[in-house]
Amino acid sequence: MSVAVAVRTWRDSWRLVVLLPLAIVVFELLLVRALGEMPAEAAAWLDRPFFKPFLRMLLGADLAESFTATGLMTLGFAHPFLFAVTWIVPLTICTRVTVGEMERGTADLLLTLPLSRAAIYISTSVIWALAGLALCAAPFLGVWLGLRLFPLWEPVDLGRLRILIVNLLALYLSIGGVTMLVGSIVSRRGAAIAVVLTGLLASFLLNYLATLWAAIEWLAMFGPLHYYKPLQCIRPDHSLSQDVAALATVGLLAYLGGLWRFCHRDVPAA
Amino acid sequence: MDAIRTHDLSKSYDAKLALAGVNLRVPAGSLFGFLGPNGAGKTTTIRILLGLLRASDGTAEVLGRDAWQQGPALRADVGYLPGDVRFHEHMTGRATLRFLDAVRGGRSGPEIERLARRLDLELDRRIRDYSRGMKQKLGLIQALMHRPRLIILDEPTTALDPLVRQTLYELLREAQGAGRTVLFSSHTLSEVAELCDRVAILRDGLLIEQDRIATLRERAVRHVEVRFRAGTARPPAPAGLRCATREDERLSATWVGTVQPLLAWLATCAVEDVTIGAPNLEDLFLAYYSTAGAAAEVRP
Repeated sequence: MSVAVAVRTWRDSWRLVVLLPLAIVVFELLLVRALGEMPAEAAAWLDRPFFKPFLRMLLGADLAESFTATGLMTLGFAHPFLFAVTWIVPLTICTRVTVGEMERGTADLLLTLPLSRAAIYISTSVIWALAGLALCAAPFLGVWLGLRLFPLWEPVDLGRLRILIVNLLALYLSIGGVTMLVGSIVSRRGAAIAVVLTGLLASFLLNYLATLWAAIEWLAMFGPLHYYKPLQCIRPDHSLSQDVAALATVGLLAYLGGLWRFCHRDVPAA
Repeated sequence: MDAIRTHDLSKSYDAKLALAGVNLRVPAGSLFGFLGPNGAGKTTTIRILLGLLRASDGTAEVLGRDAWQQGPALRADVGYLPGDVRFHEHMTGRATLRFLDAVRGGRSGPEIERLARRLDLELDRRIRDYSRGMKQKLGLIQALMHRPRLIILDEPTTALDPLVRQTLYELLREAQGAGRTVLFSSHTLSEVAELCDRVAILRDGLLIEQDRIATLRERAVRHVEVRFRAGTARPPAPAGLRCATREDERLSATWVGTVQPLLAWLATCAVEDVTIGAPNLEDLFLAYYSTAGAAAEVRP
């Protein structure tokens, strides 16, 4: 681990790491305010043909079946803005050194310093992991703050909502781990981002199609978003461990695979 | 002791062989020229020495350590300027050097200032505002700032004006004077001949020559022009005198090696005029660079 490399990664990424969690907090706050305004209307549109499978895809269960204030708040953990942000950060940070520096040609100086490649890889990962903590805690913080400012018609079980941070963090880390692996294999940063993004979008679409077409439900399990089910997670009878274990295993294996590949890859002249 | 030693070093990319059994020896304390035309394999060799590429076969030792296995430890003693040096454009020159220095232990502050003054580089501007020559100067500073035992420079004079080039030569001579080793890669013979005391020549991935410049000079071709007195007899020419043209009493020829046998032969002839040119390294190197010439001169 190199403090200097970690500090430089932080300097290059701090805007993302600070501003995006802040944006999420503000968004959640506004979402709580909006949802608090229309509980009755919300129940009606939850059963509409497009929204019902869409929300089921996002939340992992039918919101209309357990329409409670706590259930409604899981929307704050599964909206496309949050997905976009939790994808952007690992895609940006995790490709910066593994492939970005090589493509730019700046890796020549970095990789000829008296540092092992493992130290460089891990130093970059520290910032990515810290960013994940901030990003994944941000929706909860926003909902908590929103509920204090704009209380709903019934109390929200914040203890249940808090465990969603773990599920979201596992998703974030698995995306980052896979991004580190892909970035260590390909030679163009754009290609690395495109590969991971395509996988995520495919998972997103498969999850949606699986809610409409039971025959392809098995396919959805190959995508990471299948293991992120906020509405199911807050149910007392649901165990989070399987989903988290699946995401963490994929993330860890991909991360270690990326580390091995990064340490052994050739770095040709840019 | 050798600062760099490779043994049967080979590198292939897919089916293409970039290096074929290179045995390079760079003595410690030398100012070593690494010559070859573009695409000869110089940069590939350097990148293997620095642990950026892994050799397909053979070994590479730098400062007594294996280049791939012990890379981080040996790179503490190495300064490197890439052929096409690139920086983070949004950073200033000073911030870039500070970062690189921090990784190396943060002891190069005074040396950075000294080198910046010598090379006349303003460090507080953003790199995106630097000219190509200024970026090259920044690259040189980062390669020299920690006073490494081994300095590896890949085409370092690119984009430098003649004055800065002379300053660089001075810096490198000073480094050599302090017992440090310099590997100076170039495809320009004149600068290597001016600066270096030893040279290795690479062509098509093969090391075709490595020796002292002075020794190569002895093997270089001299052009000889002789005008004999008319009607006089001449003893047979010594072996090694290659006649290019012969017209009446005029002889135009080439001579390789020490001039004593040539002078002894001329002393036995009735000579009206003679011109013996200086050894022409350019011709020798062109012969090495060309396929036919290289084939004739390759040493086992």
